Amino acid sequence: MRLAAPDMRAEVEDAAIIEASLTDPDRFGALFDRHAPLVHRYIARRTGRDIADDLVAETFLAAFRRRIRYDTSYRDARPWLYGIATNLIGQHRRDETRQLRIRLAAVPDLDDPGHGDRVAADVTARAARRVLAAALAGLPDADRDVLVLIAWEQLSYDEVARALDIPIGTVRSRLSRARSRVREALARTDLSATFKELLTR
Amino acid sequence: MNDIDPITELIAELAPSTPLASAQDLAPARRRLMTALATEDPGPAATARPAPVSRTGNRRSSQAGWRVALAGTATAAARPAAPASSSRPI
Repeated sequence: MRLAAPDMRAEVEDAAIIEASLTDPDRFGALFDRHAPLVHRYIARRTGRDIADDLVAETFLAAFRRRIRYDTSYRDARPWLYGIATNLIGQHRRDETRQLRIRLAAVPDLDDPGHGDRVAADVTARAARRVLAAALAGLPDADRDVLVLIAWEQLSYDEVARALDIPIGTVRSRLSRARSRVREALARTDLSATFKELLTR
Repeated sequence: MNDIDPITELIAELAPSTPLASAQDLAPARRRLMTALATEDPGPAATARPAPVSRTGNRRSSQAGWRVALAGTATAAARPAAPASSSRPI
């Protein structure tokens, strides 16, 4: 199931909106209304909310200026928008790294920290998140782009290929490399027993 | 269809639970866009009607021990059981 499916209940498809905006620019606002919340969340997850507020506008401005080159055989413009957003995120890699290392590593505080088992579990969770966040932050940018678009944004391989303008074989190889690096990072820690289930697959 | 990989699922669990921005939150960005649109010259005529394209999606595997370990006992206990394919808010 796609968690982030575009709102296709509206009868007008993205491609048709983009087509119409070539002669009536105001129509492009409908594309913003349909996809801006998801694109904003994607950027916010990677760089933080403050930067997302700015980059979401830049994403749609860039999309608007490039709309004449949009391939209208693709009804859903979401991968195209994610690709533009990903390029813009590339100009904020330091913010992304900070976001990964600080925010992702955080586990909500315990309401009742007195219970020994809970404290132990919380310590494990924090340690695991730190390892994973560091592994994610340490990935080559291109590999992280693919992994995040698939894991967080639920894009298919085809959609990622389209978003990043790369062959689907490259999507697969980058994803495979990213997974291997995360798996290796887990295996190097004393959490390997906890994640044995994953490391042996 | 993407293949289901536990490492990808693990990374998915790491995604910040960022809520979707409201129309009010996005209003400044929308204003910026609409200002740009207002100054835009009309472009060339639209091209041919688009052809249908296939759509694919992802699936998530069921709850696993590592997922609970990653969340921590407290958060896992506090969270109601969710369907395997909708463990994160939209």
